Amino acid sequence: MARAEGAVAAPASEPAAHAASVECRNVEKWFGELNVLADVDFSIPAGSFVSVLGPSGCGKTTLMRAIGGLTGIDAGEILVGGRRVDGPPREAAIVFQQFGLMPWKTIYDNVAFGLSVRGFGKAELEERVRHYIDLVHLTGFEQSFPYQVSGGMQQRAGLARALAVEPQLLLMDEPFASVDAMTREVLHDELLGIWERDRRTVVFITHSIDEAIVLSDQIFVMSRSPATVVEQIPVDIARPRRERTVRGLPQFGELREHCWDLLERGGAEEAARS
Amino acid sequence: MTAGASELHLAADAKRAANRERIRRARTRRRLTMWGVRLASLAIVLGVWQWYGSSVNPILFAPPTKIAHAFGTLVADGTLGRALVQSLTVFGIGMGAAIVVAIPLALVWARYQIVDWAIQGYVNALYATPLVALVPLLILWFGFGVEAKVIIIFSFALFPLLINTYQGARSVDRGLVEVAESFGCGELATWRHVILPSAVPFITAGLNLAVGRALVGMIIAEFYTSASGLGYLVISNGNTFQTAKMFVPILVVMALGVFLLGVTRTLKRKASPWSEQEGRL
Ligand SMILES: Nc1ncnc2c1ncn2[C@@H]1O[C@H](COP(=O)(O)OP(=O)(O)OP(=O)(O)O)[C@@H](O)[C@H]1O
Ligand SMILES: [Mg+2]
Repeated sequence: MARAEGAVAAPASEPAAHAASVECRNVEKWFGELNVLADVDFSIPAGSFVSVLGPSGCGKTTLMRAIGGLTGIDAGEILVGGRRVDGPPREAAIVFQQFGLMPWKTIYDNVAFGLSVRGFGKAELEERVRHYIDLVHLTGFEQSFPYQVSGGMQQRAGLARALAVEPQLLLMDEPFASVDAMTREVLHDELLGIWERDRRTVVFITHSIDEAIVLSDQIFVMSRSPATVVEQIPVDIARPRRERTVRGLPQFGELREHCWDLLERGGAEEAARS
Repeated sequence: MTAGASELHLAADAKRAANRERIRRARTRRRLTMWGVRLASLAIVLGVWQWYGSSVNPILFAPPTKIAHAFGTLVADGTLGRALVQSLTVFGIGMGAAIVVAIPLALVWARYQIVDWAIQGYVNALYATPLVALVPLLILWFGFGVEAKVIIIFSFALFPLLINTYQGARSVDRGLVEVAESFGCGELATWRHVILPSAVPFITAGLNLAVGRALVGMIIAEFYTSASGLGYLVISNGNTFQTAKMFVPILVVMALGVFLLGVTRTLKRKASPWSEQEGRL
Protein backbone atom coordinates (compact mmCIF):
# COMPACT_ATOMS: atom_id res chain seq x y z
CA MET A 1 0.00 0.00 0.00
CA ALA A 2 1.25 3.45 -0.82
CA ARG A 3 2.23 5.63 2.11
CA ALA A 4 1.69 9.33 2.73
CA GLU A 5 3.99 11.41 0.61
CA GLY A 6 7.15 12.28 2.48
CA ALA A 7 7.41 8.87 4.13
CA VAL A 8 9.69 6.49 2.26
CA ALA A 9 8.83 2.82 2.08
CA ALA A 10 11.64 1.06 3.93
CA PRO A 11 13.18 -2.39 3.63
CA ALA A 12 11.98 -4.80 6.30
CA SER A 13 15.33 -4.83 8.06
CA GLU A 14 15.01 -1.15 8.85
CA PRO A 15 11.67 -0.59 10.51
CA ALA A 16 12.71 2.82 11.79
CA ALA A 17 12.39 4.45 8.36
CA HIS A 18 8.66 5.04 8.72
CA ALA A 19 9.02 5.97 12.37
CA ALA A 20 10.17 9.29 13.76
CA SER A 21 12.42 9.92 16.72
CA VAL A 22 11.38 12.29 19.50
CA GLU A 23 13.71 14.53 21.42
CA CYS A 24 12.93 16.82 24.30
CA ARG A 25 15.76 19.14 25.28
CA ASN A 26 15.44 20.95 28.61
CA VAL A 27 11.73 21.51 28.08
CA GLU A 28 10.02 23.86 30.49
CA LYS A 29 6.36 24.76 30.67
CA TRP A 30 4.58 27.25 32.86
CA PHE A 31 0.90 28.03 33.29
CA GLY A 32 1.18 31.50 34.77
CA GLU A 33 2.80 30.98 38.15
CA LEU A 34 2.52 27.21 37.93
CA ASN A 35 5.65 25.43 36.75
CA VAL A 36 4.35 22.19 35.24
CA LEU A 37 7.36 20.87 33.34
CA ALA A 38 10.81 21.61 34.70
CA ASP A 39 13.75 20.59 32.57
CA VAL A 40 12.27 17.54 30.84
CA ASP A 41 15.04 15.96 28.86
CA PHE A 42 14.96 12.69 26.96
CA SER A 43 15.24 11.14 23.57
CA ILE A 44 13.17 8.38 22.08
CA PRO A 45 14.70 6.41 19.22
CA ALA A 46 12.58 5.91 16.13
CA GLY A 47 10.42 2.83 16.30
CA SER A 48 10.38 2.60 20.06
CA PHE A 49 7.36 2.22 22.32
CA VAL A 50 7.72 4.48 25.35
CA SER A 51 5.25 4.87 28.18
CA VAL A 52 5.22 7.99 30.28
CA LEU A 53 4.15 7.16 33.80
CA GLY A 54 3.47 9.68 36.51
CA PRO A 55 1.13 10.72 39.29
CA SER A 56 -2.10 12.46 38.41
CA GLY A 57 -1.69 16.12 37.56
CA CYS A 58 2.07 15.95 37.10
CA GLY A 59 1.97 17.20 33.53
CA LYS A 60 1.79 14.10 31.34
CA THR A 61 -0.96 15.48 29.15
CA THR A 62 0.83 18.79 28.94
CA LEU A 63 3.97 17.01 27.76
CA MET A 64 2.06 15.06 25.15
CA ARG A 65 0.27 18.16 23.90
CA ALA A 66 3.62 19.89 23.61
CA ILE A 67 5.07 17.05 21.53
CA GLY A 68 1.89 17.06 19.43
CA GLY A 69 2.29 20.79 18.79
CA LEU A 70 -1.01 21.67 20.47
CA THR A 71 0.62 23.82 23.12
CA GLY A 72 3.80 25.86 23.14
CA ILE A 73 6.68 25.50 25.58
CA ASP A 74 8.48 28.20 27.53
CA ALA A 75 12.06 26.95 27.28
CA GLY A 76 14.02 24.24 25.56
CA GLU A 77 12.99 22.53 22.37
CA ILE A 78 11.18 19.51 21.08
CA LEU A 79 12.21 17.70 17.92
CA VAL A 80 10.08 15.18 16.06
CA GLY A 81 11.90 13.35 13.29
CA GLY A 82 14.75 15.79 13.79
CA ARG A 83 12.58 18.83 13.12
CA ARG A 84 11.63 21.40 15.70
CA VAL A 85 7.98 21.24 16.73
CA ASP A 86 6.05 24.36 15.89
CA GLY A 87 2.40 23.44 15.48
CA PRO A 88 1.14 19.89 14.98
CA PRO A 89 3.84 17.90 13.17
CA ARG A 90 2.73 16.06 10.05
CA GLU A 91 4.44 12.93 11.29
CA ALA A 92 2.31 12.67 14.40
CA ALA A 93 -1.20 11.48 15.11
CA ILE A 94 -2.93 11.54 18.46
CA VAL A 95 -5.28 9.09 20.13
CA PHE A 96 -7.28 11.06 22.68
CA GLN A 97 -8.40 9.98 26.11
CA GLN A 98 -12.04 10.96 25.54
CA PHE A 99 -11.81 9.42 22.03
CA GLY A 100 -12.38 12.77 20.33
CA LEU A 101 -14.74 11.37 17.71
CA MET A 102 -17.00 13.77 15.84
CA PRO A 103 -20.52 12.82 16.93
CA TRP A 104 -21.95 13.97 13.58
CA LYS A 105 -19.71 11.70 11.54
CA THR A 106 -20.19 7.99 11.07
CA ILE A 107 -17.46 5.61 12.23
CA TYR A 108 -16.32 5.44 8.62
CA ASP A 109 -16.11 9.21 8.22
CA ASN A 110 -14.38 9.56 11.56
CA VAL A 111 -11.70 7.08 10.55
CA ALA A 112 -11.41 8.83 7.19
CA PHE A 113 -11.08 12.25 8.82
CA GLY A 114 -7.29 12.63 8.84
CA LEU A 115 -7.02 11.29 5.30
CA SER A 116 -9.68 13.61 3.88
CA VAL A 117 -8.04 16.60 5.56
CA ARG A 118 -4.77 15.57 3.95
CA GLY A 119 -6.44 15.46 0.58
CA PHE A 120 -6.26 11.76 -0.22
CA GLY A 121 -7.96 10.63 -3.41
CA LYS A 122 -11.18 8.69 -3.14
CA ALA A 123 -9.82 5.28 -4.10
CA GLU A 124 -6.83 5.29 -1.78
CA LEU A 125 -8.81 6.82 1.03
CA GLU A 126 -11.42 4.12 0.77
CA GLU A 127 -8.89 1.34 0.66
CA ARG A 128 -7.04 2.64 3.70
CA VAL A 129 -10.17 3.29 5.74
CA ARG A 130 -11.43 -0.23 5.03
CA HIS A 131 -8.06 -1.65 5.95
CA TYR A 132 -7.80 0.11 9.30
CA ILE A 133 -11.43 -0.41 10.21
CA ASP A 134 -10.80 -4.08 9.61
CA LEU A 135 -7.59 -3.98 11.64
CA VAL A 136 -9.38 -2.70 14.73
CA HIS A 137 -12.32 -5.09 14.20
CA LEU A 138 -14.97 -2.51 13.42
CA THR A 139 -16.10 -3.99 10.13
CA GLY A 140 -19.89 -3.86 9.96
CA PHE A 141 -20.09 -0.66 12.03
CA GLU A 142 -18.94 1.74 9.31
CA GLN A 143 -22.31 3.47 9.08
CA SER A 144 -22.97 3.63 12.82
CA PHE A 145 -22.58 6.89 14.68
CA PRO A 146 -20.29 7.02 17.71
CA TYR A 147 -23.20 7.23 20.15
CA GLN A 148 -24.48 3.96 18.79
CA VAL A 149 -21.41 1.91 19.69
CA SER A 150 -19.68 1.05 22.97
CA GLY A 151 -16.81 2.99 24.53
CA GLY A 152 -14.34 0.29 23.55
CA MET A 153 -15.51 0.49 19.95
CA GLN A 154 -15.29 4.26 19.99
CA GLN A 155 -11.69 4.07 21.09
CA ARG A 156 -11.00 1.49 18.39
CA ALA A 157 -12.29 4.05 15.92
CA GLY A 158 -10.05 6.69 17.51
CA LEU A 159 -7.10 4.36 17.10
CA ALA A 160 -8.00 3.54 13.50
CA ARG A 161 -8.32 7.24 12.70
CA ALA A 162 -4.80 7.86 13.98
CA LEU A 163 -3.34 4.75 12.33
CA ALA A 164 -5.01 5.53 9.01
CA VAL A 165 -2.74 8.50 8.34
CA GLU A 166 0.16 6.07 8.88
CA PRO A 167 1.93 8.37 11.29
CA GLN A 168 5.59 8.05 12.08
CA LEU A 169 4.73 8.98 15.64
CA LEU A 170 1.67 7.92 17.57
CA LEU A 171 0.80 9.93 20.66
CA MET A 172 -1.64 8.28 23.02
CA ASP A 173 -3.01 10.01 26.13
CA GLU A 174 -4.47 7.42 28.50
CA PRO A 175 -6.42 6.00 25.58
CA PHE A 176 -7.83 3.10 27.56
CA ALA A 177 -8.55 4.89 30.82
CA SER A 178 -12.26 5.17 30.15
CA VAL A 179 -13.00 1.66 28.93
CA ASP A 180 -13.73 -1.28 31.23
CA ALA A 181 -10.97 -3.60 32.42
CA MET A 182 -11.86 -6.51 30.18
CA THR A 183 -12.08 -4.42 27.04
CA ARG A 184 -8.83 -2.76 28.04
CA GLU A 185 -7.02 -6.08 28.08
CA VAL A 186 -8.35 -6.96 24.65
CA LEU A 187 -7.30 -3.55 23.34
CA HIS A 188 -3.82 -3.97 24.83
CA ASP A 189 -3.35 -7.18 22.94
CA GLU A 190 -4.67 -5.67 19.73
CA LEU A 191 -2.38 -2.67 20.10
CA LEU A 192 0.58 -4.97 20.75
CA GLY A 193 -0.26 -6.96 17.63
CA ILE A 194 -0.59 -3.85 15.47
CA TRP A 195 2.51 -2.19 16.87
CA GLU A 196 4.74 -5.25 16.67
CA ARG A 197 4.00 -5.46 12.95
CA ASP A 198 5.08 -2.02 11.83
CA ARG A 199 6.81 -0.46 14.85
CA ARG A 200 5.93 3.17 14.63
CA THR A 201 7.24 5.33 17.44
CA VAL A 202 4.71 5.49 20.25
CA VAL A 203 4.52 7.82 23.22
CA PHE A 204 1.94 6.32 25.52
CA ILE A 205 0.73 8.34 28.50
CA THR A 206 -0.68 6.36 31.39
CA HIS A 207 -0.90 6.16 35.11
CA SER A 208 -1.27 2.43 35.11
CA ILE A 209 2.04 0.72 35.93
CA ASP A 210 0.80 -2.62 34.59
CA GLU A 211 -0.24 -1.13 31.30
CA ALA A 212 3.13 0.57 30.92
CA ILE A 213 5.04 -2.67 31.53
CA VAL A 214 2.89 -4.78 29.24
CA LEU A 215 3.19 -2.43 26.28
CA SER A 216 6.51 -0.61 26.38
CA ASP A 217 10.16 -0.87 25.45
CA GLN A 218 10.94 1.82 27.98
CA ILE A 219 9.04 3.48 30.81
CA PHE A 220 9.73 7.11 31.63
CA VAL A 221 8.72 7.84 35.19
CA MET A 222 7.85 11.45 35.94
CA SER A 223 7.95 13.18 39.27
CA ARG A 224 5.22 15.39 40.68
CA SER A 225 5.13 18.87 39.26
CA PRO A 226 7.30 20.69 38.55
CA ALA A 227 7.89 17.48 36.68
CA THR A 228 11.01 15.93 35.26
CA VAL A 229 11.71 12.43 34.04
CA VAL A 230 13.25 10.80 37.10
CA GLU A 231 14.15 7.48 35.49
CA GLN A 232 14.04 5.74 32.15
CA ILE A 233 13.38 2.08 32.82
CA PRO A 234 14.06 -0.42 30.04
CA VAL A 235 11.51 -3.23 29.80
CA ASP A 236 13.46 -6.26 28.61
CA ILE A 237 10.59 -8.58 27.86
CA ALA A 238 10.71 -10.41 24.56
CA ARG A 239 8.16 -9.72 21.85
CA PRO A 240 5.69 -10.68 20.59
CA ARG A 241 3.99 -10.09 23.92
CA ARG A 242 0.49 -10.70 25.13
CA GLU A 243 -0.89 -9.21 28.30
CA ARG A 244 -1.60 -12.46 30.08
CA THR A 245 1.79 -14.01 29.41
CA VAL A 246 3.64 -10.84 30.40
CA ARG A 247 1.76 -10.69 33.68
CA GLY A 248 2.97 -14.19 34.48
CA LEU A 249 6.67 -13.36 34.12
CA PRO A 250 8.93 -12.80 37.16
CA GLN A 251 10.28 -9.56 35.61
CA PHE A 252 6.78 -8.19 35.64
CA GLY A 253 6.63 -8.23 39.42
CA GLU A 254 10.11 -6.76 39.76
CA LEU A 255 9.40 -3.92 37.34
CA ARG A 256 6.15 -3.25 39.09
CA GLU A 257 7.88 -2.94 42.46
CA HIS A 258 10.50 -0.67 41.00
CA CYS A 259 7.94 1.68 39.41
CA TRP A 260 5.93 1.80 42.61
CA ASP A 261 9.06 2.75 44.56
CA LEU A 262 9.86 5.57 42.16
CA LEU A 263 6.34 6.93 42.21
CA GLU A 264 6.14 6.75 45.99
CA ARG A 265 9.52 8.38 46.43
CA GLY A 266 8.32 11.19 44.17
CA GLY A 267 5.37 11.66 46.50
CA ALA A 268 7.57 11.57 49.60
CA GLU A 269 9.91 14.19 48.16
CA GLU A 270 6.94 16.36 47.51
CA ALA A 271 5.81 15.96 51.12
CA ALA A 272 9.31 16.73 52.38
CA ARG A 273 9.50 19.90 50.28
CA SER A 274 6.32 21.43 51.62
CA MET B 1 -24.84 -33.61 16.21
CA THR B 2 -25.58 -31.33 13.25
CA ALA B 3 -29.23 -32.33 13.35
CA GLY B 4 -29.35 -31.39 17.04
CA ALA B 5 -27.64 -28.07 16.37
CA SER B 6 -29.99 -27.13 13.57
CA GLU B 7 -32.96 -28.08 15.73
CA LEU B 8 -31.67 -25.72 18.39
CA HIS B 9 -31.38 -23.05 15.74
CA LEU B 10 -34.93 -23.62 14.62
CA ALA B 11 -36.20 -23.41 18.18
CA ALA B 12 -34.35 -20.12 18.73
CA ASP B 13 -35.72 -18.75 15.46
CA ALA B 14 -39.24 -19.71 16.41
CA LYS B 15 -38.84 -18.03 19.78
CA ARG B 16 -37.53 -14.90 18.16
CA ALA B 17 -40.40 -14.83 15.66
CA ALA B 18 -42.93 -15.31 18.47
CA ASN B 19 -41.36 -12.47 20.39
CA ARG B 20 -41.50 -10.18 17.38
CA GLU B 21 -45.14 -11.04 16.85
CA ARG B 22 -45.94 -10.31 20.51
CA ILE B 23 -44.22 -6.92 20.37
CA ARG B 24 -45.98 -6.06 17.13
CA ARG B 25 -49.37 -6.92 18.57
CA ALA B 26 -48.75 -4.90 21.73
CA ARG B 27 -47.73 -1.94 19.61
CA THR B 28 -50.87 -2.18 17.45
CA ARG B 29 -53.04 -2.35 20.56
CA ARG B 30 -51.35 0.73 21.99
CA ARG B 31 -51.81 2.66 18.78
CA LEU B 32 -55.50 1.75 18.55
CA THR B 33 -56.05 2.92 22.12
CA MET B 34 -54.24 6.16 21.42
CA TRP B 35 -56.38 7.00 18.42
CA GLY B 36 -59.51 5.94 20.22
CA VAL B 37 -58.78 8.37 23.04
CA ARG B 38 -57.92 11.15 20.62
CA LEU B 39 -61.13 10.73 18.63
CA ALA B 40 -63.26 10.57 21.77
CA SER B 41 -61.61 13.71 23.13
CA LEU B 42 -62.17 15.52 19.84
CA ALA B 43 -65.83 14.47 19.79
CA ILE B 44 -66.33 15.80 23.32
CA VAL B 45 -64.61 19.11 22.59
CA LEU B 46 -66.62 19.63 19.40
CA GLY B 47 -69.83 18.59 21.14
CA VAL B 48 -69.38 21.06 23.99
CA TRP B 49 -68.34 23.76 21.56
CA GLN B 50 -71.38 23.11 19.40
CA TRP B 51 -73.72 23.21 22.38
CA TYR B 52 -72.19 26.33 23.92
CA GLY B 53 -71.64 28.07 20.56
CA SER B 54 -75.31 27.73 19.60
CA SER B 55 -76.55 28.96 22.95
CA VAL B 56 -74.77 32.34 23.03
CA ASN B 57 -75.04 35.49 20.97
CA PRO B 58 -73.66 34.66 17.46
CA ILE B 59 -71.68 37.90 17.49
CA LEU B 60 -69.56 36.57 20.33
CA PHE B 61 -69.08 32.96 19.35
CA ALA B 62 -69.79 30.44 16.62
CA PRO B 63 -70.47 26.71 16.73
CA PRO B 64 -68.39 24.26 14.59
CA THR B 65 -71.22 23.69 12.11
CA LYS B 66 -71.43 27.42 11.31
CA ILE B 67 -67.67 27.63 11.05
CA ALA B 68 -67.63 24.68 8.67
CA HIS B 69 -70.25 26.38 6.57
CA ALA B 70 -68.27 29.65 6.56
CA PHE B 71 -65.18 27.65 5.62
CA GLY B 72 -67.04 26.24 2.62
CA THR B 73 -68.14 29.71 1.54
CA LEU B 74 -64.65 31.23 1.89
CA VAL B 75 -63.08 28.37 -0.06
CA ALA B 76 -65.73 28.49 -2.77
CA ASP B 77 -65.41 32.23 -3.45
CA GLY B 78 -61.59 31.99 -3.39
CA THR B 79 -61.15 34.41 -0.49
CA LEU B 80 -59.42 31.91 1.77
CA GLY B 81 -57.12 30.57 -0.94
CA ARG B 82 -56.06 34.06 -1.95
CA ALA B 83 -55.42 35.11 1.66
CA LEU B 84 -53.42 31.96 2.33
CA VAL B 85 -51.23 32.50 -0.72
CA GLN B 86 -50.68 36.15 0.21
CA SER B 87 -49.72 35.22 3.76
CA LEU B 88 -47.45 32.36 2.76
CA THR B 89 -45.68 34.54 0.21
CA VAL B 90 -44.68 37.25 2.67
CA PHE B 91 -43.94 34.63 5.32
CA GLY B 92 -41.67 32.70 2.95
CA ILE B 93 -39.78 35.78 1.77
CA GLY B 94 -39.34 37.20 5.28
CA MET B 95 -38.32 33.89 6.79
CA GLY B 96 -35.97 33.06 3.92
CA ALA B 97 -34.30 36.45 4.15
CA ALA B 98 -33.88 35.99 7.90
CA ILE B 99 -32.15 32.64 7.38
CA VAL B 100 -29.89 33.96 4.65
CA VAL B 101 -28.87 36.98 6.72
CA ALA B 102 -28.79 35.53 10.24
CA ILE B 103 -26.66 32.43 9.77
CA PRO B 104 -23.64 33.97 8.01
CA LEU B 105 -23.85 37.07 10.21
CA ALA B 106 -23.88 34.92 13.35
CA LEU B 107 -20.86 32.96 12.12
CA VAL B 108 -18.89 36.15 11.52
CA TRP B 109 -20.06 37.38 14.90
CA ALA B 110 -18.86 34.20 16.58
CA ARG B 111 -15.56 34.19 14.73
CA TYR B 112 -14.34 37.75 15.27
CA GLN B 113 -14.02 39.11 18.78
CA ILE B 114 -14.19 42.66 17.40
CA VAL B 115 -17.59 42.02 15.84
CA ASP B 116 -18.70 40.45 19.10
CA TRP B 117 -17.76 43.55 21.08
CA ALA B 118 -19.34 45.80 18.50
CA ILE B 119 -22.77 44.19 18.10
CA GLN B 120 -23.53 41.96 21.06
CA GLY B 121 -25.19 44.72 23.08
CA TYR B 122 -27.55 45.74 20.29
CA VAL B 123 -28.52 42.22 19.38
CA ASN B 124 -29.35 41.32 22.96
CA ALA B 125 -31.28 44.54 23.48
CA LEU B 126 -33.29 44.02 20.30
CA TYR B 127 -33.93 40.39 21.17
CA ALA B 128 -35.30 41.49 24.54
CA THR B 129 -37.51 44.20 23.01
CA PRO B 130 -41.08 43.14 22.27
CA LEU B 131 -40.86 43.76 18.54
CA VAL B 132 -44.57 44.48 18.41
CA ALA B 133 -43.64 47.88 19.81
CA LEU B 134 -41.58 48.57 16.70
CA VAL B 135 -44.26 47.59 14.19
CA PRO B 136 -45.82 51.09 13.91
CA LEU B 137 -42.37 52.51 13.35
CA LEU B 138 -41.56 49.96 10.64
CA ILE B 139 -44.85 50.79 8.93
CA LEU B 140 -44.00 54.47 9.10
CA TRP B 141 -40.73 53.73 7.35
CA PHE B 142 -41.79 51.13 4.84
CA GLY B 143 -45.41 51.91 4.11
CA PHE B 144 -48.37 49.56 4.00
CA GLY B 145 -47.30 47.25 1.19
CA VAL B 146 -45.77 43.82 0.91
CA GLU B 147 -42.38 45.32 1.64
CA ALA B 148 -43.35 46.36 5.16
CA LYS B 149 -44.84 42.96 5.89
CA VAL B 150 -41.72 41.15 4.74
CA ILE B 151 -39.55 43.40 6.88
CA ILE B 152 -41.71 42.87 9.94
CA ILE B 153 -41.62 39.08 9.54
CA PHE B 154 -37.89 39.25 8.86
CA SER B 155 -37.20 41.18 12.04
CA PHE B 156 -39.33 38.82 14.12
CA ALA B 157 -37.47 35.77 12.79
CA LEU B 158 -33.98 37.25 12.71
CA PHE B 159 -33.01 37.37 16.37
CA PRO B 160 -33.68 33.84 17.55
CA LEU B 161 -31.79 32.55 14.52
CA LEU B 162 -28.92 34.97 15.03
CA ILE B 163 -28.51 34.27 18.71
CA ASN B 164 -28.87 30.51 18.45
CA THR B 165 -26.40 30.18 15.60
CA TYR B 166 -23.93 32.35 17.48
CA GLN B 167 -24.26 30.28 20.61
CA GLY B 168 -23.94 27.09 18.61
CA ALA B 169 -20.69 28.20 17.06
CA ARG B 170 -19.41 29.45 20.42
CA SER B 171 -20.25 26.38 22.44
CA VAL B 172 -18.22 24.05 20.24
CA ASP B 173 -16.25 21.42 22.15
CA ARG B 174 -12.68 22.80 22.39
CA GLY B 175 -11.43 19.23 22.52
CA LEU B 176 -12.81 18.52 19.05
CA VAL B 177 -11.27 21.69 17.68
CA GLU B 178 -7.97 20.37 18.98
CA VAL B 179 -8.57 17.01 17.35
CA ALA B 180 -9.07 18.78 14.05
CA GLU B 181 -5.95 20.85 14.56
CA SER B 182 -3.89 17.79 15.40
CA PHE B 183 -4.92 16.19 12.12
CA GLY B 184 -3.77 19.26 10.25
CA CYS B 185 -7.00 21.20 9.76
CA GLY B 186 -6.59 24.87 8.98
CA GLU B 187 -9.16 27.41 10.06
CA LEU B 188 -11.52 26.77 7.16
CA ALA B 189 -11.42 22.99 7.51
CA THR B 190 -12.01 23.31 11.25
CA TRP B 191 -15.16 25.32 10.58
CA ARG B 192 -16.33 22.84 8.00
CA HIS B 193 -15.65 19.68 9.97
CA VAL B 194 -16.21 20.78 13.55
CA ILE B 195 -17.73 24.17 14.29
CA LEU B 196 -20.55 24.19 11.74
CA PRO B 197 -21.75 20.65 12.37
CA SER B 198 -21.71 21.18 16.10
CA ALA B 199 -23.82 24.32 15.63
CA VAL B 200 -26.48 22.49 13.59
CA PRO B 201 -28.70 21.48 16.55
CA PHE B 202 -28.62 25.09 17.76
CA ILE B 203 -29.48 26.40 14.31
CA THR B 204 -32.44 24.07 13.91
CA ALA B 205 -33.65 24.96 17.41
CA GLY B 206 -33.35 28.62 16.40
CA LEU B 207 -35.33 27.88 13.26
CA ASN B 208 -38.08 26.36 15.36
CA LEU B 209 -38.28 29.47 17.53
CA ALA B 210 -38.04 31.75 14.51
CA VAL B 211 -40.96 30.09 12.73
CA GLY B 212 -43.19 30.63 15.75
CA ARG B 213 -42.21 34.25 16.06
CA ALA B 214 -42.46 34.88 12.32
CA LEU B 215 -46.07 33.66 12.34
CA VAL B 216 -46.87 36.17 15.07
CA GLY B 217 -45.11 38.84 13.03
CA MET B 218 -47.08 37.87 9.95
CA ILE B 219 -50.49 38.22 11.63
CA ILE B 220 -49.57 41.50 13.29
CA ALA B 221 -48.27 42.90 10.03
CA GLU B 222 -51.50 41.95 8.31
CA PHE B 223 -53.54 43.59 11.05
CA TYR B 224 -51.79 46.88 10.54
CA THR B 225 -51.04 47.03 6.84
CA SER B 226 -52.68 46.59 3.46
CA ALA B 227 -55.81 44.54 2.92
CA SER B 228 -54.42 41.08 2.35
CA GLY B 229 -53.58 37.82 4.02
CA LEU B 230 -55.10 35.72 6.78
CA GLY B 231 -54.61 38.43 9.40
CA TYR B 232 -56.67 40.86 7.37
CA LEU B 233 -59.35 38.18 6.95
CA VAL B 234 -59.57 37.92 10.74
CA ILE B 235 -59.75 41.68 11.24
CA SER B 236 -62.20 42.44 8.44
CA ASN B 237 -64.65 39.70 9.46
CA GLY B 238 -64.30 40.75 13.08
CA ASN B 239 -65.08 44.37 12.26
CA THR B 240 -68.25 43.34 10.44
CA PHE B 241 -69.29 40.92 13.21
CA GLN B 242 -69.14 37.84 10.98
CA THR B 243 -67.82 35.74 13.80
CA ALA B 244 -68.08 32.35 12.08
CA LYS B 245 -66.06 33.68 9.15
CA MET B 246 -63.55 35.17 11.56
CA PHE B 247 -62.90 31.75 13.07
CA VAL B 248 -61.89 30.26 9.72
CA PRO B 249 -58.58 32.13 9.20
CA ILE B 250 -57.80 31.73 12.91
CA LEU B 251 -58.09 27.97 12.60
CA VAL B 252 -56.10 28.00 9.38
CA VAL B 253 -53.27 29.91 11.06
CA MET B 254 -53.38 27.46 13.93
CA ALA B 255 -53.07 24.55 11.52
CA LEU B 256 -50.29 26.34 9.69
CA GLY B 257 -48.40 26.83 12.94
CA VAL B 258 -48.75 23.21 13.96
CA PHE B 259 -47.60 22.09 10.54
CA LEU B 260 -44.57 24.41 10.32
CA LEU B 261 -43.40 23.63 13.84
CA GLY B 262 -43.74 19.95 13.03
CA VAL B 263 -41.57 20.47 9.97
CA THR B 264 -38.82 22.25 11.91
CA ARG B 265 -38.92 19.66 14.68
CA THR B 266 -38.53 16.89 12.17
CA LEU B 267 -35.73 18.83 10.53
CA LYS B 268 -34.00 19.12 13.90
CA ARG B 269 -34.24 15.40 14.49
CA LYS B 270 -33.11 14.48 10.99
CA ALA B 271 -30.30 17.01 10.75
CA SER B 272 -28.62 16.08 14.02
CA PRO B 273 -29.62 12.63 15.21
CA TRP B 274 -26.64 12.58 17.58
CA SER B 275 -27.92 15.55 19.56
CA GLU B 276 -31.10 13.72 20.46
CA GLN B 277 -28.97 11.32 22.49
CA GLU B 278 -29.13 12.01 26.23
CA GLY B 279 -25.93 12.98 27.94
CA ARG B 280 -23.84 13.33 24.85
CA LEU B 281 -22.63 16.22 22.83
N1 LIG C 1 -4.57 25.14 30.11
C1 LIG C 1 -4.14 25.11 31.40
N2 LIG C 1 -4.13 26.24 32.14
C2 LIG C 1 -3.71 26.23 33.42
N3 LIG C 1 -3.27 25.14 34.05
C3 LIG C 1 -3.25 23.99 33.37
C4 LIG C 1 -3.69 23.91 32.01
N4 LIG C 1 -3.57 22.63 31.60
C5 LIG C 1 -3.10 21.94 32.65
N5 LIG C 1 -2.88 22.75 33.71
C6 LIG C 1 -2.32 22.34 35.01
O1 LIG C 1 -1.09 21.72 34.76
C7 LIG C 1 -0.92 20.59 35.60
C8 LIG C 1 -0.64 19.36 34.78
O2 LIG C 1 -1.79 19.03 34.04
P1 LIG C 1 -1.83 17.78 33.08
O3 LIG C 1 -3.20 17.71 32.52
O4 LIG C 1 -0.71 17.85 32.11
O5 LIG C 1 -1.58 16.59 34.11
P2 LIG C 1 -1.65 15.02 33.85
O6 LIG C 1 -0.37 14.45 34.33
O7 LIG C 1 -2.03 14.73 32.47
O8 LIG C 1 -2.82 14.61 34.84
P3 LIG C 1 -3.81 13.37 34.75
O9 LIG C 1 -3.01 12.16 35.10
O10 LIG C 1 -4.83 13.68 35.81
O11 LIG C 1 -4.37 13.34 33.38
C9 LIG C 1 -2.16 20.50 36.45
O12 LIG C 1 -1.89 21.09 37.70
C10 LIG C 1 -3.18 21.31 35.69
O13 LIG C 1 -4.07 21.91 36.59
MG1 LIG D 1 -3.79 13.82 31.53
